[in-house]
Amino acid sequence: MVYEILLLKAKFIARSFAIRNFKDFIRLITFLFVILSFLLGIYFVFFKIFNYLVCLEDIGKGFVYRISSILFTTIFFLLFTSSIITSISTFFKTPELEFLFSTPMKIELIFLSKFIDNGFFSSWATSIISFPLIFSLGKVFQMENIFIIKWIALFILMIFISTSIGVLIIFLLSDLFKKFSLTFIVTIIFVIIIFSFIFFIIFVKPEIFYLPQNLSMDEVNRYLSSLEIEQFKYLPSGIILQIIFNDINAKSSNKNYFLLSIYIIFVLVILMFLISIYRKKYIGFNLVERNVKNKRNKIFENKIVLKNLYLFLITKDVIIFLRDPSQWGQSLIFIILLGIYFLSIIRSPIYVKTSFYTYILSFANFGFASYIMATLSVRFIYPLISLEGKTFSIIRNSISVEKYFKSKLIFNFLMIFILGEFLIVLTNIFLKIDPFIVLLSTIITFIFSFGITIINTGFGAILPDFNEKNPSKIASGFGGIVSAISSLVYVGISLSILSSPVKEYFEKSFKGISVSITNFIYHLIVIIIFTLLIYVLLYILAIKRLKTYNL
Amino acid sequence: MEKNVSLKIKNLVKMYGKKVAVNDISLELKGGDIFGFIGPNGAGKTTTIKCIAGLLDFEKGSISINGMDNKKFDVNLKRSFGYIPDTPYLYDKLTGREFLFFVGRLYGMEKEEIEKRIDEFSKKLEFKDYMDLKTEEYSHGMKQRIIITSCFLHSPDIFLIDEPLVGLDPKSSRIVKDLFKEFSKTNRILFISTHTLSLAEEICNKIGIMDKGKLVYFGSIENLKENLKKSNLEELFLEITKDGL
Repeated sequence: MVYEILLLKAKFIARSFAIRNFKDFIRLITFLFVILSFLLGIYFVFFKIFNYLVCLEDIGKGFVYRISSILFTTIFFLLFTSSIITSISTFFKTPELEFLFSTPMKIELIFLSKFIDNGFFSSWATSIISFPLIFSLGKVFQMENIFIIKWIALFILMIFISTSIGVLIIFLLSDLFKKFSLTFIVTIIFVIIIFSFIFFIIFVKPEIFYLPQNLSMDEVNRYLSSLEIEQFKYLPSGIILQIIFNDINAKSSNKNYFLLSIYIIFVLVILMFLISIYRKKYIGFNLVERNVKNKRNKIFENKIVLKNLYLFLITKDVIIFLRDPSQWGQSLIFIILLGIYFLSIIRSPIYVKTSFYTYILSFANFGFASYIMATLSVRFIYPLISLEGKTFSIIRNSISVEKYFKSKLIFNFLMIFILGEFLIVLTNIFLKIDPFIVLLSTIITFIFSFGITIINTGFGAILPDFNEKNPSKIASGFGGIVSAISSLVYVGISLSILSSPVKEYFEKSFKGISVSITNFIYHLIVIIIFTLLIYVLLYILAIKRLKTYNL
Repeated sequence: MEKNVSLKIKNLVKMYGKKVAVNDISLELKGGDIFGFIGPNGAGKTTTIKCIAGLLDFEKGSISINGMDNKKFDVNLKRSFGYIPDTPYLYDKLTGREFLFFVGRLYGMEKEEIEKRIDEFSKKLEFKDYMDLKTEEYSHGMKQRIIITSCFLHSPDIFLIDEPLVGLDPKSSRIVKDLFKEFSKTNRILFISTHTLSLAEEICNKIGIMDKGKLVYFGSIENLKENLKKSNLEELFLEITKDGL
């Protein structure tokens, strides 16, 4: 029976990609193109970085290990956190469960089907970064393909372990739903995740990159050998990374396989335990918000809000967001990502002051900040129109679609712009980057916020999913993926346009040559035109589509 | 010998936190009964049906289906009833026929048997021409016909139906009512929660009126009419539930 359920899911996916007409064909081709471009782009970035580092004598391999270790640990924590958040919906809330539990389908099969769903939904976003990372490691160290396949299998095992632990936590917490409100439970989950995050920060030690220049040779050697010592050697991520590097160094990994086997046995026992209690947990689960306050909220009656349609629509979105605790969980993932990033920057002493280093650093910082802006937009901005659901027909019939769309643009732009500026300015201060570049970053962030907003709001209107109520599922659907990759491609292209004047600026300022800003202005104009073209195109398409929906 | 089909609810109590959703209700039905479960919104009807279907845990009391305790998961127990929720779930990427095949398979039916039943119901409920379209393209009424068929497909002993006529046109409503009557003649129980009082009045031999979690009346419509001296179910319903209005 489980095969039939899985076959059913496979059928759903296949049908989403079914080609019935030319439009479907274009849709599929676009999808494949953006996905492949994204995977290849990520692969190329990792390959370039690792390849460069490997060429550095003595120190290179150690640095590759340390970077991989930080990435693998972060990925593990993200998988685990994401699993906790998706488990509530997958194992307890989805309407499919009511149907499955009313049939004679065996509990273990329902559990297995949901476990696979949960593994997929909680890991797809992390996997599309992780697979190119693993491939690039294999290629940089010229490993045979069989090793890469083995490492991918080990990564899937890591997803399996992290998903299981995440599900276990939700099952253990689920009894609390009988006594406490959802808000309280989500707060508890927040606390658990924040503790995991603190644990991560204490042990990950980004200052490992610190290499003071007055060390003795012995100390340098000790430092170099410490680079390849795994900080999290007992975590699944650490065990798997050690196996990968043992393969690269042609060393035995018996101890690591043993530890991994213990994890697998532990997880299998957990799963058996969870299966045995699943029905009891499901029928006892209850998500009724027990807020007994029956107080009239007058925010919609406020004269200023009532008078201005844009403000009225924005207020509605803010209220809905704040009253949905499942949205906060997703926000937390981003807060953690930001926290890790800030702390890594604060704790990384900047000793090297060559023009190349500063150039790389300021660009890497800007690239990462833009990446955060893009991913945030996909998760929180893209689903906004879809989340209107059937009520969109009321909006469309009562107000102008243009005004509605503009209200979304204003709200989304402000959110992304404030976050982006905060990120860029703060990190630039810590990185002690040139004030001119700080000013330039501020202007570029303004343009990027605008571009990312129109891409995500635009695709939100062009490719919505009015039937889905779960924002993370909307974001992981076809439209969400197109939106995510388009945002990243937009950021990538704009950064490439900007790279040559920035490089020139650093080289000249390092040599003490005066720098003309005319070159910057030309390149900025190109980016502005590029952004405006995207705006005009997506705005027209979005308005056209919003006017045609028949719900 | 005819099977002993029964549904017994004894002192059922279901709570949501401190709020009592179902307050100590008891009733007993046997094969051939069409039971109309009526009451205002929020009275506890859907909660009761979900408790019977084994989809919600309850604090006190017991529910037995054909003599089996529904607290324990049992495949035979699950096969003995069919459940139609108030907001039915359909896999929107499947066609109606595929969905019915899937459900039939879950209930352990053979392919030929499923085909025969689908053919029979598609004619009765007039969805033959839509069967091979994906359910995401269906109207609400068409979805309801598929869901009703999925419940009747494996010929269960007990039907638990929450709002069966929502979205159906008058002709389909007539067909569904006839279907209910036909099934009740074959030693089965139909447990129907509804706001359509005419449905209860027309086809049910027993009714239960829920109000604020309590079963305020359980018995035949005739008895109730006689006791309260009212001529139709609407007046009776309003009389009994007037405190809550």
